[in-house]
Amino acid sequence: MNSQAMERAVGLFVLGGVACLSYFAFQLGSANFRTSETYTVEARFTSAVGLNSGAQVLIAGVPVGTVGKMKLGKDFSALVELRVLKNLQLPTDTLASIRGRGLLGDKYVALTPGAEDKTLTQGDRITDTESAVDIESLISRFAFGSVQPEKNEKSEKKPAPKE
Amino acid sequence: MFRHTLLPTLSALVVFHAAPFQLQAKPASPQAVLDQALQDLIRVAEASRGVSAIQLSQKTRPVLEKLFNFESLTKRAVGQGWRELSADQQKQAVALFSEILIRSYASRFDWDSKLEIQFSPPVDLGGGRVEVLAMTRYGNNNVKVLYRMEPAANGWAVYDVVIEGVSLAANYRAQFDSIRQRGGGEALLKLMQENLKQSANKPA
Repeated sequence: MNSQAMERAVGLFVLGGVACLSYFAFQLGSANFRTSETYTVEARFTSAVGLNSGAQVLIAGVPVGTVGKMKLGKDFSALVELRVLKNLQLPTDTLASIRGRGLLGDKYVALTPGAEDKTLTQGDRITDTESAVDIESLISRFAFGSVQPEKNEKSEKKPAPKE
Repeated sequence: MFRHTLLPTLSALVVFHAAPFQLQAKPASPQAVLDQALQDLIRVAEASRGVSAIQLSQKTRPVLEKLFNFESLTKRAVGQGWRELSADQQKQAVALFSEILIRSYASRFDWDSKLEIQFSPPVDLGGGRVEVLAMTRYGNNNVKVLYRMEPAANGWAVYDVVIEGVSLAANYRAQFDSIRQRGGGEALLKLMQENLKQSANKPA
């Protein structure tokens, strides 16, 4: 094999590798819903920290869509586009919550359908939402807040031990 | 069984010290409704100082019934199971769930704590609904509480409360859904009844 043929073979091998990587990145990124089979609703969150475009939208753990564009609202809230399967009839009081796979895992949007008879259609907005919970902030608040009241309660109810 | 996510909120409304509050011009604004409820709860609580949790829940119920749309809140908390309940069961669910929330609040009431609340202007959510952010300072804690409100006879009523990103309706919907899937609407009502029995039997 001459050197030109060898270079061509290496080039093809590299291109094949790039194509495989692109395919897997596309599949693993969950962007496997075609635009033609979805409709778009918008969810308003106080904070969408950690959520990225392409993240999964799940109902009961089953993928039903993906997160589309994200933008900042006029009141500095996060407006997140959700592309969900067309055959899904979601009640207007559906809850959208940003959840994480463990403390450090990827964020996704969990939908919990409600009880309303009216259903969401293309372009509607979900306002019953739960933002991403800031674990660090919560931990520090519990650490500060829980000490004093419990101490008082115990000191009132339990008599001091006799020595 | 239940996680009492409402408690900080209700405590935030009630606790004993009227705080710096930026009143809006319109008397029936969402903030005005929240502030009025706060004042009423403080008055009722001060007049009932030292009573048991059950007695306090009975005394504060009228104020909280005016502030909260318990039917809307229960419907949201029950979620899909709501449609499976008969009209009578729905009424029963509203009565039981509101009692659970009010008793939860009353059992955690602390007459000696101090609270400061500052309301932000309401944000329009569409469909006539608004969201009011209340920055609540309770002891050393700053807690962010969102009141989701909808139009009501007295101006505005709360249909969901979100504390530090955790929604009351979502929290209960997740719990109720698993119960409903296992045992249907009857199981849901039974669970609520048992929860109330337990809270009634707790020592004051």
